[in-house]
Amino acid sequence: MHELSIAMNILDIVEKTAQTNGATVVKDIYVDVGALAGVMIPSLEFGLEVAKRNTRARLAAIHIREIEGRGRCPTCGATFPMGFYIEPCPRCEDSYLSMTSGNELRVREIEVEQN
Amino acid sequence: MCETCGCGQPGSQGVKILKPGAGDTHTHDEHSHGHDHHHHDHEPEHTHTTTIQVQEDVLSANNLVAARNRGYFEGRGIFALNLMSSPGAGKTTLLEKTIQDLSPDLAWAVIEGDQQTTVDADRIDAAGAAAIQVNTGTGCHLDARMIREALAQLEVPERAVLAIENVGNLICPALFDLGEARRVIIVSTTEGSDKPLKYPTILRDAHLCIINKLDLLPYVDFDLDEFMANARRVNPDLSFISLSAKTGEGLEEWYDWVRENHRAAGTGNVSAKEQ
Repeated sequence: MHELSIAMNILDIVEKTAQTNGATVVKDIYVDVGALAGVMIPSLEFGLEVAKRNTRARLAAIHIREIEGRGRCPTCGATFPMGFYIEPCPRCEDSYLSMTSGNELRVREIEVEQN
Repeated sequence: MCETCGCGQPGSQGVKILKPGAGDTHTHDEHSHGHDHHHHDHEPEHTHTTTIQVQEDVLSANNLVAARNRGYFEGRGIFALNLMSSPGAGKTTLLEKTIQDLSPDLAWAVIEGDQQTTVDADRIDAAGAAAIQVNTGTGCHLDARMIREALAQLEVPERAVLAIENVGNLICPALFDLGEARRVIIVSTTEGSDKPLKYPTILRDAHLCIINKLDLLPYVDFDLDEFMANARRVNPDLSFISLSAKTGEGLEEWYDWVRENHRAAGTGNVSAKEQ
């Protein structure tokens, strides 16, 4: 259940950003999670519900966007969806795809109320 | 939640750093946020909603402290290892044996991560290495800040090998860089050959995979070749050493690996984990 630690890190970033911008209330939190980032989204959602208590974001709506795993073949240059860390190129079959997306774990933006 | 000041904020709550035999002392470190109040010199007349672009990596706070730990290790020529496995794979037994066999040529220090007790730190202490226990409470992994706090209490000599024994768990420790130079995964022959495909994240950034309890191979269904083939599907650059910490078979190869990496750490040639 490392998702709870991840959730706390997210709330630290949200609080710090809100404080820096003089925001009293955080209304929405937008998070990007790659499909291959090693994080379970339902567990993260649960963790965020717990972590946001007693913060400026206690009433915030959580929006998690899952980013599809994709990889580019270094040989033929084509890109394909990736469901695993290591996948051979489905076209030329002799190179492994190098991951171009799917490893994301970031706070994208927050929506706040400012005075 | 923080149970000490009741502020409900995340900190390293519940984490205890204990010397061997130290029992249960309470620590409460400061939170990274302030408890300050904002005083405005004008009365707010209205509020408006703004979108703030954040674009911040969730693990950036951990990675920053990890980079700081890594610099500390490199500056002092310390070879830091992050040992990860499921519970019961034999991490502590292998460490005990290794410390006994490689001391006094190599100075050892050990950070032991477990949810509770100082049992492992006591065992390492008895084996002759400086040890400190990090009890993570309900936490399932070590993070870079826990290592930094442990380093403040554990005197790691220059040029030492620092073994960080992570909490027994094949999932959660994977995402948390501690500042180590090498990541070592320990599996045992009593686990299934399909484990690399079931728990790929932890193998993805590992440098070495130790297959322990080789002495039990005749009695279990573990297929060594199949295991290695599965692990290479996740991480083609992974090295393997098969051994038995109990009988001593294969230990010399592991010791050579430690000596070689320790030498490289002294010359600054152990490359840090690329983020």
